Amino acid sequence: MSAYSLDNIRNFSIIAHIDHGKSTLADRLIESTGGLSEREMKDQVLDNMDLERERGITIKLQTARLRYRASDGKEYQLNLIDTPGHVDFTYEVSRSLAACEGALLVVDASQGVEAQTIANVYLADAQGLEIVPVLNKIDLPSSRPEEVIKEIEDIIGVYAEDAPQISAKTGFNIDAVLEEVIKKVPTPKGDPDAPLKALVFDSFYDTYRGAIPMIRIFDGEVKKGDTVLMMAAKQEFEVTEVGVFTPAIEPVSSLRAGEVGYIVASIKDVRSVRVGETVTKADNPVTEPLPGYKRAQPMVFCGLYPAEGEDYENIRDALEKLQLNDASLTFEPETSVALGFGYRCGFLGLLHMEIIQERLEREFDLDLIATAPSVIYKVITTKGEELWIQNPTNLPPAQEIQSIHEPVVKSSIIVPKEYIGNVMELAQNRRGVFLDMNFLDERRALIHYELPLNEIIYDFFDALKSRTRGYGSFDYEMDRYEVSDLVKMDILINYELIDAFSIIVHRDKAVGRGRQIVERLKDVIPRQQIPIPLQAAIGSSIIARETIRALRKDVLAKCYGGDISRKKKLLEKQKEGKKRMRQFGNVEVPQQAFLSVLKFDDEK
Amino acid sequence: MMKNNLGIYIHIPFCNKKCDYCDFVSYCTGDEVKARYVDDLLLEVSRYRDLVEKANISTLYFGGGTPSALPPVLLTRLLEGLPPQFFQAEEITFEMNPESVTEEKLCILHDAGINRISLGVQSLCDRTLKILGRAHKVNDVYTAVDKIRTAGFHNLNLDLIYAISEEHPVEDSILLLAEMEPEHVSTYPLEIYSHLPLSEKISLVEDEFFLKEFSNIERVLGNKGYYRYEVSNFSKPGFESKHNVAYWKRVDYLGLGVSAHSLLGSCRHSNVDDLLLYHEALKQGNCPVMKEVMLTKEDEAFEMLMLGLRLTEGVDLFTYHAKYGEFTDAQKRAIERFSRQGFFERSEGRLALTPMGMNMMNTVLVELME
Repeated sequence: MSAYSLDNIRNFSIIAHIDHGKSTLADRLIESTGGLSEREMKDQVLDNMDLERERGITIKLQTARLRYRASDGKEYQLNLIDTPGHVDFTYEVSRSLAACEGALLVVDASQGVEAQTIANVYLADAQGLEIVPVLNKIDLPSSRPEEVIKEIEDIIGVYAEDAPQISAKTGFNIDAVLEEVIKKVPTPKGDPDAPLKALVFDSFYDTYRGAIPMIRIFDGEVKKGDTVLMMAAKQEFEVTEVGVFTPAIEPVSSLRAGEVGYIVASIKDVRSVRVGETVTKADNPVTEPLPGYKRAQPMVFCGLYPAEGEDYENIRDALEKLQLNDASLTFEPETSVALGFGYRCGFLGLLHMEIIQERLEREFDLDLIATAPSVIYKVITTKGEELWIQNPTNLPPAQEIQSIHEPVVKSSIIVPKEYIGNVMELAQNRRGVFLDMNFLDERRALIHYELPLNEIIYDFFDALKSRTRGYGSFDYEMDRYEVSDLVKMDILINYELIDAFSIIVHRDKAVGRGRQIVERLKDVIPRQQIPIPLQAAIGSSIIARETIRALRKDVLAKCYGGDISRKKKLLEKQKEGKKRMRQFGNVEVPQQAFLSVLKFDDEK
Repeated sequence: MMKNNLGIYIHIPFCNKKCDYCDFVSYCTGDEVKARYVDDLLLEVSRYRDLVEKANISTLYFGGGTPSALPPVLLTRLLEGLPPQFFQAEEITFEMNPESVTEEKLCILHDAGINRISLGVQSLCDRTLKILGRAHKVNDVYTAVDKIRTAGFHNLNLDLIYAISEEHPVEDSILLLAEMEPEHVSTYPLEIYSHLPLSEKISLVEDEFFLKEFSNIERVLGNKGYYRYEVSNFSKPGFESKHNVAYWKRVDYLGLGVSAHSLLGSCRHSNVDDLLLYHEALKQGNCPVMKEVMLTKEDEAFEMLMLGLRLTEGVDLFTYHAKYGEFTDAQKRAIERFSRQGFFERSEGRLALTPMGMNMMNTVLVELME
């Protein structure tokens, strides 16, 4: 290893749209610099969770120090800082980017620039990063590098004529990327002799050593034995180890200005080292923390309930375990008349919610009932109080409400021009307000819409994909709260209000939505011995109604030739289905009913 | 030594024409295949020589498919090839379809000792027969019944399908059927499977229509001196199907042929349901059994309820408790609840479903299942 010198360090991340090859490129960079032996080299080492690999996105960050001897003969320390690839994690992305001086912009040479690419470039730009474009998947017959270069220059405004044209999959031209990083990414600035100032850009949890923050040192030095101060959390910890990722963990004697690594300091709770935190020394602190720290705020909420009552404790254990690695996940106990004891959980966005639900079911083998997701509404009461409502059930009675405000996002949608009409219709149906539209090239348009968040948390992305044959891409950022004519709609089964089905909805859409929900419920609730009225109501007025007819006969007469197995199987299936039902008064409601109200497509 | 009772079921998986609603294993094929099958059957029977000798054969039943689809020469070959003990059974039933009833076949059957004919009438309305895709017309039924009676059969069952559709009510058929005075009537509601051709023509009827159809059947047959002794079966007193009642009372039975099912002690087994696999297995000297399930005590207890409650006489609780112990608390609660709803009729030592309870039998059984 060459001597420490800021001139030999480059800190960079990779930004890309999902599937444009970010993880594959990261693999190749690590592989080609010998970061891991071939035996250790798993495919896509940076995406270490199964779920991430399945969905092709990175959720938790990992970082790697690459040692590279460049064509100029010098050895460089290249710190690759991975970023999550989804809009839900915008804040985490911004902190990762704040730890870098440059970013590789990976663009698929056949797909071109996508909505998310632009969003990420804006983020990188806002951090003052040098953008280094790279054209990936150049080996594909459908690649059109010349056009995509033009797109990058026109849309993003970055010179791309000499961008490395590579294939991360085959490993073609990977060295050109490393050379480009050294040439284009600025060297970090900083003073190793100044007081310690470091940024936490991620953390992970180790069962034996506690929460381990990943940090970028801006000034000063940190080593074993130092007592560090977390400035926002106002907590002190003694450092027991410092190290780097290769990407395997490798202890080093110290980390100095410009470098990237981790510290171990017996930190029990991941919440003590939130992303964006500033680390300094307890005995010689800096006066000002690094700018930009904020606590990531959950935007989407839903109730998670055990399908089997006895799993209540297990869900809490599982949520606590997930929280160790994920400071942005929140949860608190809540009770539902319909579903019993459960938890109201907060997520950064829809994807985050889906990932957590899937992990609970897969990794912890839990059977969950999730209520319809909700955003946080701001309610001003007639008494002038301000309430933040994340569970529709908690909405005060209409006569006590002066106004309800809902979150509105600014969204960018990129879509091939033949689907513009479909997308506009969809956005219009979701109460979207058209802002502007630009053609990116002859084929594609970038449309900006303002959309209420509660219109996109259900299935907007799915609906967009189905209306654009999968070609539409979508991104959004929180914009503001806006007053809106919202009402709470309840669902009554056999005249009994089932709180878990209540939703807050715009008044104009209530009737349609109500009708849709009762129709869905009619299909999924099996007929029972009594007729079951299903009603949607706003306050005391019924806006939609269906009735499930009574079951008058339930008999399978044929049992022929001594073959009783069919009949037995049928009964067993019926019994199994019954076990998974919730009893509301006289009525049994299958779990499926709770799912069926989540997915709707208003154009059907 | 007292011998255990054993029922024998022989499956003849052939039909002249496959009906549009049929979901049983049956083939429309030439006489060569049928002949090979008869030989295979006799081969399979010989594998059970010991079992047959140790048992008292109480009933014998030829079902299908359509057993009468066998030509006379194969009928003779089959009947003569079976062990003589089979024909000592008290009740020997042979299923026939109206279009394949001939005097010659009836004569062979009668001579062999068959004493009960089950005729697949299904409807006495030509329009309805057509919708079902049956091969016969109403007139064929009258001709067939005449021939059966003339041949000397005094125990006749007629099969009837109901709950077909509002356009094809059972009312006229059941009246005409009762006038023929069979000793036994089996009534089946039409079941519609989405993979079968009939599902393209009609869909499942509403519960109300179903119940109306059944109450018409019950009324007409009741007036004519029949009584309902099982979910879907009526007879003149003394003419209950002994073979089928044995199924519901869990008497041992041996099923022979393609897709046949057996209950032997605590073991249920079923044969392969493919004609070729059946042949290959026997040719290679193997047993054609596809599936074998050992029943636990709990399985047996539930079977006793599931099958026994099909009979209007219900389940004998002394036997039940002696064999399987008390009901669980959940079962007791369910029985209590259903009794209040009028689904159960409880008399000393018996648990039986009322007609109303029979209509909701699955709901009841699911609650009794542990």
